Amino acid sequence: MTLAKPRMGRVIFDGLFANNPVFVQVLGICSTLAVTNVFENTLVMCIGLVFTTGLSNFSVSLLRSLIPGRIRMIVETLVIASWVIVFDIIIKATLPEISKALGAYVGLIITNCIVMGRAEAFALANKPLISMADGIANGLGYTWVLLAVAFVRELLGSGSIFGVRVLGEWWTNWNIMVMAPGGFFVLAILIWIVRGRMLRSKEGVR
Amino acid sequence: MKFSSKRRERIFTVFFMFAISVFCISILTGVYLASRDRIRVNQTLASKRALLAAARMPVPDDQRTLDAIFSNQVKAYTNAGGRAIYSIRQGASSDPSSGRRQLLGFVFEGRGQGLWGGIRAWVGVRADRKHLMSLAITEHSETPGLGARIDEPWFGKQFSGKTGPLTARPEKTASSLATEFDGITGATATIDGVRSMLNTVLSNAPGDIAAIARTDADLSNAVFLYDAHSATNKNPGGIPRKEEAGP
Amino acid sequence: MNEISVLSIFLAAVFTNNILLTNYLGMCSFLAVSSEVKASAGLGIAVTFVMAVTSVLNWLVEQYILVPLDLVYMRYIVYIVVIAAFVQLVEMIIERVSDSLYAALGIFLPLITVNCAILGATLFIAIREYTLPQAAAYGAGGGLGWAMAIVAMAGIRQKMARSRVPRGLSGAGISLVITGIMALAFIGFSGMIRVN
Repeated sequence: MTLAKPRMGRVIFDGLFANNPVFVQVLGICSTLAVTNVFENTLVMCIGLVFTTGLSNFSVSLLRSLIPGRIRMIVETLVIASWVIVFDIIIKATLPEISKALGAYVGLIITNCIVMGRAEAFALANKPLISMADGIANGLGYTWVLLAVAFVRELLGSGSIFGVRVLGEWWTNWNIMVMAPGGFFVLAILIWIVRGRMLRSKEGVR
Repeated sequence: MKFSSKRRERIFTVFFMFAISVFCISILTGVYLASRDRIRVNQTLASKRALLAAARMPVPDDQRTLDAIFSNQVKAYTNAGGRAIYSIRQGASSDPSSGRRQLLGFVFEGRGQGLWGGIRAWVGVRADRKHLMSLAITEHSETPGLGARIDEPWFGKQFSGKTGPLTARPEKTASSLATEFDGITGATATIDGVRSMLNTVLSNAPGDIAAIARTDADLSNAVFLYDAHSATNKNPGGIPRKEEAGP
Repeated sequence: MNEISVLSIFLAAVFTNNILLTNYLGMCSFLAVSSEVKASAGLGIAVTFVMAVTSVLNWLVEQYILVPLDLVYMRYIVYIVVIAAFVQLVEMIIERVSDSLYAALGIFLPLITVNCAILGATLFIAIREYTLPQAAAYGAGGGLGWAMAIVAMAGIRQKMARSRVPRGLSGAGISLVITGIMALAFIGFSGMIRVN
């Protein structure tokens, strides 16, 4: 990643697939998993993450030659926290009900390892625009994984997608999907499928 | 030379930290101030709409109608415990014959304890101070998909005509008894909190209304008229209940 | 509204509302460190200590600085600064006071600053409007619950080292499955505490 100047297309592809935050880097599984029992909430949270990672990468990259080495992490944290607060205020003003449902989890975007991880690994060494692209790509890579989890959890746990009931009366809700263990299991199965495929294709190439 | 460049570095570090903090804080304060009023207005509107929903009144979309309803038909009181009680009367243009506007009901500020935190709601109680009209949850911290389902419209509406002391039944069993209501599967603690909140409101309702009626002659008259009117009406509506002795 | 007893909150934070198993918080460092029981126990103790103290500190900041000055929107920044500063302070003190303690715990402290569980605990306390004793109980209980989960996880993973895990699942996948089963088990504690 730090060899030649990274190209935009490569950066985006890596963030979404080859260097996917969840499957490859194994980061950021923490907080957002909690809201994946409702698809709509997950979508808003992930938008928040993409917003924050993109903009904080951009800001950190802009400042990269100025930041004194000793306080590097504090400055990154400050920048990240500021963007999260901006996002929090925006959703409070425009989507008050979802903001209430998300509760404390919006604030936890700050401690999401992906945001800090990309700032450290990419933004400090690259130009602003491409750093923003890397942030957005990683955010989106994270998003599609979580949306997949949320889709399964809401469908099996409440019989609905995006709040709209799709499975009829015959469906008994799998409450475990709505509760904590469901999130762990669904994500584990998804990781199993994807990583299994990735490992097998690597061996095929060899 | 070495000494002063280290010093310069340190000074720059401190200066940078200060500068960036000031910058971030200013931007945040700006965004906050720009949106603060809008957020407050949203919250007040949401609360008012919920209040009308608890009283089973039609909820208008535009703010002007909402404000008009509140200034004409809704009056605020406080009970001994500091909780809000609102009286709802019919609009000025209805029932010209009596000259007095009929009492529709009351909305109580209910507070209960859920699984994760407090639950706040508007509890609509009929003018007879015994039966519920509806329930509108305004605040809770319950699990989305489980306890948070108390937000769903069917949940609040099912309380119409119910009376205390309430007990919960499994979801979708739709009991016809006036003291039973449907719970939510997987949300036992939340439902328990809601139940206990409603029972508290219902048991305190007659006393609370009597207390605030003492402070307001107009309300006192309205309550008296309502009681007189309903005594002459065999069945004012809602779930059939036992006949009671006159006022 | 907040008549829940301090003991109920403490027990709930450890068992029924475990900050890791029910609220999904604090998993990053958990997944990275949890392959050895001793290291996990060290991390667990450090987290418990920091969580308990910062819960109280942030509660005080919220009540006496943020609310009176209408700065609640700055909550996230202020909380994380308090946490980072406190962890830095603890690290400096441990380094001066005890070499052995520093060797055992010191390396974990930087990890703790970005641990979602600590920030999460303080945010939950603020949202649920706990009183000071309740906040302290939740902080201490949350930390203990997290520590319990991570030590249990480390123990299980040590045993798993001898089993044949499908390749796709090794690492993060199997850890998630183990966490899920533990979360299931902890749900069994739900009836233990009657909060009403």
